[in-house]
Amino acid sequence: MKALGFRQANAWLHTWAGLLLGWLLYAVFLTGTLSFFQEEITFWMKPELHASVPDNQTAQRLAQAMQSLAPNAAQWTLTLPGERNAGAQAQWFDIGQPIVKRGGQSVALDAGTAEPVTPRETRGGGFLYRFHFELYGMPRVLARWIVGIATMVMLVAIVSGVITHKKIFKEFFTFRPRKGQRSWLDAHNATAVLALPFHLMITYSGLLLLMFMLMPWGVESAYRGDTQKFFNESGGRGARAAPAMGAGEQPLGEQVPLSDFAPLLAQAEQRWPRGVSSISVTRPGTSDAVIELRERGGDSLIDRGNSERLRFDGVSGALLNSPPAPGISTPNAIYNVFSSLHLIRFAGAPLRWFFFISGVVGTAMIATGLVLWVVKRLPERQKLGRTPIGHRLVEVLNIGTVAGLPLAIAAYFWANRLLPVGMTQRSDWEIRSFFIVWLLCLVHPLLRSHKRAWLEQLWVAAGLFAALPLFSVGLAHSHLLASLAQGQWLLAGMDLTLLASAALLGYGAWKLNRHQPLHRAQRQPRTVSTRQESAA
Amino acid sequence: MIWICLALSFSGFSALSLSTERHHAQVFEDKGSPLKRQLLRLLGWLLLAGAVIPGVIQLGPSVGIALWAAVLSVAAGGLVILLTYRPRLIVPLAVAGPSMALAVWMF
Amino acid sequence: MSDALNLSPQTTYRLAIASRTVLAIFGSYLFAALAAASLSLLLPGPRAQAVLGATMLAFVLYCAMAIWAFSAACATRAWLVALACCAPPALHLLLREVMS
Repeated sequence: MKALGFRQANAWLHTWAGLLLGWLLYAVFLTGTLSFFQEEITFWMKPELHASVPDNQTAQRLAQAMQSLAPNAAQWTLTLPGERNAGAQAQWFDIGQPIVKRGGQSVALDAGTAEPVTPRETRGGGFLYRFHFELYGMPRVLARWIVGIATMVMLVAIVSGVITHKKIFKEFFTFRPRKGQRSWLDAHNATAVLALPFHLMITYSGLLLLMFMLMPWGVESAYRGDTQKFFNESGGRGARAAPAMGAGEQPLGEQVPLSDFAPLLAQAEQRWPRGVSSISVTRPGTSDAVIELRERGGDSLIDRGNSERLRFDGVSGALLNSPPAPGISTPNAIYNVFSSLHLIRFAGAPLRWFFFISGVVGTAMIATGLVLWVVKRLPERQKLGRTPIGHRLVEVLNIGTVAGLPLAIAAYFWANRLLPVGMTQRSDWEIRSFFIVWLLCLVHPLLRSHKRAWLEQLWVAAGLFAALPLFSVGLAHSHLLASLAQGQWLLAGMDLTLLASAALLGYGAWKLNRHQPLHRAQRQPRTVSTRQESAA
Repeated sequence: MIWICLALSFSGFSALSLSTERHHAQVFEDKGSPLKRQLLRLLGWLLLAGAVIPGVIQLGPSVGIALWAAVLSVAAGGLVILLTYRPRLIVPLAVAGPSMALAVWMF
Repeated sequence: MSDALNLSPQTTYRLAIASRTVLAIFGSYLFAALAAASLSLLLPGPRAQAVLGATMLAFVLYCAMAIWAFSAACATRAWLVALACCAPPALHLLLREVMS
């Protein structure tokens, strides 16, 4: 490669790194972007919870309900409704049950009536979140390695892209539409450069979240492989050690009533602008009961977006002293900031939307790159007079992924609406619907011409997305007009985003339909497409 | 507060884009004097730097800076679209934006 | 070298690409791993913090080496510099094994 200069060599690297992993990266980026709103999506996918309307007596009412719901509990936690979920969740461990993350008993509660509600069985937004870094249907470690390698390639692609883009400052604000390949390149550049800090941050932080698996050699070398010791010494990924909740023992003595929650909640709400996210009680009904209130969100990334906690004596309601937070070292702080920025657990709605938009821009960056690869090679296909099989493969994968994946996601949402509530393995079938439709989208372009395949998938996807809010009109508490009228932005936001996605896909299809190939680039469009149709 | 940050970022990027000959010509039909463009560039950087302040005041330093970075991207994206399709809207929006956002925040 | 082996320019080009790719994928990872292992022992501060810092840095080094693999003027040069970068951490780790 003596002939290639620095920039050209990087352009070559960028093109091939981007192409070979582009489809996987598109899927990871799109599901990741949706995962910013995974709780909202999960709520939308559980219409049984949509009647739940929280008010300012909710916390009290729910805490009261816990007495009858979990009379023998050694420990219970009530997750209060908030801007991401209008329903409440109660989890408790009876005396003698082991305290593990997903153990004990758990039930969803209506915020208005404090009655238990049984939502339909669904993985909700959690499926998209898990897919984002663990794909599906394969051993967890293998999937994480695949995604991890793709992420490392993405980092190389971003850096080589910046090196290649020689006019990065001059063309910072440039977009020239209707100029064929030039426009696709402008779009790819714009989506990449304008959100470059986000793309670099999200890619690097993604690597850090997987770093102990991808790069264990530091631990190996310094700790001779004793990873447990490393985690203990590093402060367990920077998380503050939670005070020991020694439950599972017999309650001491007689039943002592719990303190009234109202003044405790009032104290907490004065301190925390976004309110209380959960209430936990250990050893309720005894004289050593402890009530812990947890803040919604957090205000420092350095602390891993950890929310503040207030602990009260369970009987008297007196505020207990919390142990002072340990100081955080620089490497821990750096890790915490990056991982917080990736997971955005701390973020309120406006900031979450900005991250979501950035994610959409990143997804568009990958999509425009994939399309650009095809468009750029049209002249040489012209000359050749036929389509090489590699190019055809790229075209098929482009359509099946860039248009097909959104289509499959729409199918997932439709499965959620249509599958019978009592069906066995319901959540598995929702997921299967997603994969079946995606597979169909990958096969469909083999049977159609390039342009027609794009149009069909874009139109179908647009239609499916647009129809989802319409379907909700038939559901009692879920439809858009009701949610807008009541100010229930949780549902309205989802429905409006579905409509916006439909509009975007429809717009893309409409523009494509009207597209006339430029005379300069393609001298005989009809001949090329008929050849493609007969070859396909 | 987010809106003030967005407005200042947009105004900052507008000033920066207008400090280049190409985009100045897109909006004003002439390339602008070098002095004018220098001043616009300075103004642009000041506005972009200033945009971090509302976020930091309301949300604390680390979250505020993260917000600012996200808002910058959105503001820049909006500007690109306007430059391509509606360049005439840029100056009015850049000038009125911060004051409108301030008004929204105060009331 | 290609003249001595009487290879066509196209084959030379392909070999160069292949060797750079191997360097970018495997060589860079090896370099990053060696650096992580070595720096974990050398960075100041408590052991856990040094490991954390070294591991985070390793990804940046990986990326830099992958870019280098394709940016160097020729494939041979890419490999030589890569080997030169790998040598110090490798020697450090070797010495440590021998001496402990």
